[in-house]
Amino acid sequence: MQRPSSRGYGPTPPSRMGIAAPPGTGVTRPITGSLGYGGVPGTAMRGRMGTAMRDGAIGVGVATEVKVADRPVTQQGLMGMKTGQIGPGRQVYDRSYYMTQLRQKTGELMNEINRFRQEIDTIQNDTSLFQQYERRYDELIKKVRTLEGDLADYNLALDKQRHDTRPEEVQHMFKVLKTQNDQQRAILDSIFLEKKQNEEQIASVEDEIEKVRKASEERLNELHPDQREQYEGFQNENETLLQEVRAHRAELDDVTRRLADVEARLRSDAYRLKFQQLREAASELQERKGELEKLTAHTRLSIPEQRELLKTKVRDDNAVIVQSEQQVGEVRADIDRYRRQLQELEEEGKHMKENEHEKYQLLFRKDQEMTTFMANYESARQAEEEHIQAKQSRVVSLLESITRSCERQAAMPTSDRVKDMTEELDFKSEQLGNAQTTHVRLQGELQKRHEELQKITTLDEKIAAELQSLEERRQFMTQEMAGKLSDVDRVREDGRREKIELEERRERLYGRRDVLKQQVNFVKINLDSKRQLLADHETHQALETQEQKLKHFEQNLYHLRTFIHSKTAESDFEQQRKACTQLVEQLNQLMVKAQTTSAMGPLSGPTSMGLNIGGGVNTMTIR
Amino acid sequence: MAGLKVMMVSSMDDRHLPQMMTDGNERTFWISTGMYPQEILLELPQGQGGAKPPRGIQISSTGIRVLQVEASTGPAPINFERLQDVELPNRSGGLQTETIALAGGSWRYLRLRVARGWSDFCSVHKLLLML
Amino acid sequence: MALRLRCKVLLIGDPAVGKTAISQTFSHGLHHFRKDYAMTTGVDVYMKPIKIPEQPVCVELFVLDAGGDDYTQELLKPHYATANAFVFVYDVTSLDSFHHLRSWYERVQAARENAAVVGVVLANKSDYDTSGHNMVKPHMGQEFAKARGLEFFDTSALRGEVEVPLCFLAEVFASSYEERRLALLEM
Repeated sequence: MQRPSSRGYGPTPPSRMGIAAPPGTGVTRPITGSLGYGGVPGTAMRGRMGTAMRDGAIGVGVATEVKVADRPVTQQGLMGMKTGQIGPGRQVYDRSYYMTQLRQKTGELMNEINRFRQEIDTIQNDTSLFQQYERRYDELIKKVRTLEGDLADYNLALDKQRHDTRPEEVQHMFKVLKTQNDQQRAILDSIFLEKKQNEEQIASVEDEIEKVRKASEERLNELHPDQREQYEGFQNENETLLQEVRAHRAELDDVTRRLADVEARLRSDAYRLKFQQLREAASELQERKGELEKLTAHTRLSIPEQRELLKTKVRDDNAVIVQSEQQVGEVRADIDRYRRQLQELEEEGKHMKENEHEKYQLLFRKDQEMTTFMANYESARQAEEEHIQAKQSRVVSLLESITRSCERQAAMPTSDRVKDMTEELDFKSEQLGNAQTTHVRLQGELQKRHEELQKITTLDEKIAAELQSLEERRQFMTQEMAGKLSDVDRVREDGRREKIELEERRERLYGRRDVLKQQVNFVKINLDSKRQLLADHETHQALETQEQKLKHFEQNLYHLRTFIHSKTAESDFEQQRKACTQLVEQLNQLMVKAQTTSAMGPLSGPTSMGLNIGGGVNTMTIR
Repeated sequence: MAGLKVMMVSSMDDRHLPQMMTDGNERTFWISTGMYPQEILLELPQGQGGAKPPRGIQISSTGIRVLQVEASTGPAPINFERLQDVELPNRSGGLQTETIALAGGSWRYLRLRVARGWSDFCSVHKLLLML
Repeated sequence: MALRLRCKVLLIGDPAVGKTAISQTFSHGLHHFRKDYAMTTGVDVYMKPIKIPEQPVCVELFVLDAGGDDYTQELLKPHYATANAFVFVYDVTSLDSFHHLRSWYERVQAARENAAVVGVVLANKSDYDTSGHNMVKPHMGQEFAKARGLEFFDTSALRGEVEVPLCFLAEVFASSYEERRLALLEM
């Protein structure tokens, strides 16, 4: 079947394939059942299928190109089904091929079914979960409701307590609520009963209906078959008529609805509105016109009649005024009354509050005053007493001075005398000052004299000692003089002898020096040669280098050792550790003492804490 | 006996001159001023033809432990040869008397070397040449 | 007429206690003090004459300073027997150096065949504060010296306080010389 020109549907439906192959190309290519594709895949398929066929590895070859296009399908109802294949398609349309195809399909279907089954399972699980959650939600909601009720109760109680309501009121309220609840419960019960009754009635009525129906059926069954047929015919008619009625009714409803719509539209029509407004205006105007006509008619009337009319009018108006004034007065009286009542109530309320509050404040203040007074009573009393004492003593002293001055007043000297006396006083005070200064000066002088005296005494001793030494020297000198110096000869002899001695000594020393020099030179030569030998000796040189190295190493070692020493000294924590453990022991002892002295149980807490502290610190240090 | 001349001593105290070793008086002495070795350099009297070379030397001392006797022939008091090492007993500061035999030879200079002593200081009281 | 006595003094102690510092500061003065440690190889000899006060006596102290390690001390061993005085040095900052003094003393004693050991004990580096718990307390050094008939001194080569013990040794030497001389005169 030649592939019909696909211009009918232009580009390939994107929902299907997704490849927008130019339709025209498909025509020229060899068609292998690939609808909507270009021919290229078809050739590939064909080629591969052909090879697969030749190789004999059917399953593999075929399985690799399962294409949706194999399914004979209509292209949206616009194209016929593509059944066969033109041209070199499959070489052999074997049973096995179809079997494999079928197997594929069944496999796919099974997969799909499994998937659906899984989805069903999940959906079921979800629904069950959802039900569970719903149940839980209901339970929780109920719980929440009850708790809210409790909370409301508590809040109420708290509120009442805050407002210092008396318990009788609360009881009263409680009773009221209880009665209300009972009433409502009673009502509920009654309603329930009613409902039950109604239900029963309904049931009974239904039963009756059933019975009646049954009876009628039986009756019908007893009837003749002809009548039966008639009856059935009537029933059918009945049914059809009922249907018609229903349909007509529906139509009617529809029509009425449409009518209502239209009417509404019409009503809201602008013109309609305007028409209505104008009509109203017209009516108004008509009325006015009528009135005006009446008025004109009135004016055409004679004067007395007009007067009559006016009088009646006035009378009516007066009556109305009187009535309305009465009403106003009543209303005002009412207002005043209510206002007064309100004020009274407010005042009462305030009074009560104020009274109570005032009373409470007064009491509190009085109480505080009393307590402070009692606390300070003792000290205040003492202070007062002292004050009194002081005042008394002052009074006494003042009295004394007064008496004295009174007496003196009796013996008051004249003003001249007074002047003399003041002069004398001044003079005397001057003298006193002078005397004091001289006293101080004299003391200083006395001190100086003391020191001089001491110096003199020591000097005395020193002089004595010096005298003695001088005496000795004098004696010695005189002796010398007598002995040595007077005897010039002897002195000369002594000098000569000394000189000889010294010269001998000098000779000796010279000789010694020479010999020593000689010896030293000789020994020095020896030493130098030995030194040279040593220096030339290999071992010595090696030793020297080794010694140098040793020196170097020792230096480094020393540096390292001192460094280590200082660092260990720095990081030496023994002292701190000892101090800590001592402190902890002291703390523990204090805790133990505290517990044993007091007999209260709750102190076991701190002691255990104390022990823990010790344990903790110990473990800390060990770590 | 005269003839023994002290040329040099390694210690010198002016109160105890080297001559006091050879003055024949045991009460006068020479004392070292510390440290060892101490040396006494003697010049032997040269016999004038026919005089016998000295047989030995007698020494009275204190505090000497090891005495090394060296002699030299040369005109100058150098190039000494070790003749003997004499160990003197410890007399705890008391007098040690010792006779040192001199092997034959025309020795001109004699060096007595106190190599070790029993105490810090040693003293020599008498030196006598024995013919 | 100054009398010149000669005294051989050995410095004994652990390495790096300050023996060379002491001998150098003593003989050349404070400006020779070296704080860094240069191990003494071989034996260094320093000579310094000390005048005895109020006597016409001058004592030449020959201070022999060797390294503290055993290898160098071997060089000094022959002098143990012939030395006139010993200076035992320890470092106040090192308890080990103090405890080793005992073995040093015993070695000296053995070398001298139990002859008298004349000497002093020096607590060197006294410029450090000895109140720490790893320091050698003065009373330890004093007891050690007293038990062996030695004198105890605090020294600090850093501060140049090294004269006193050596002058003390010089005076002791001079007095022992005078004693000996007088004893010999009485003989």
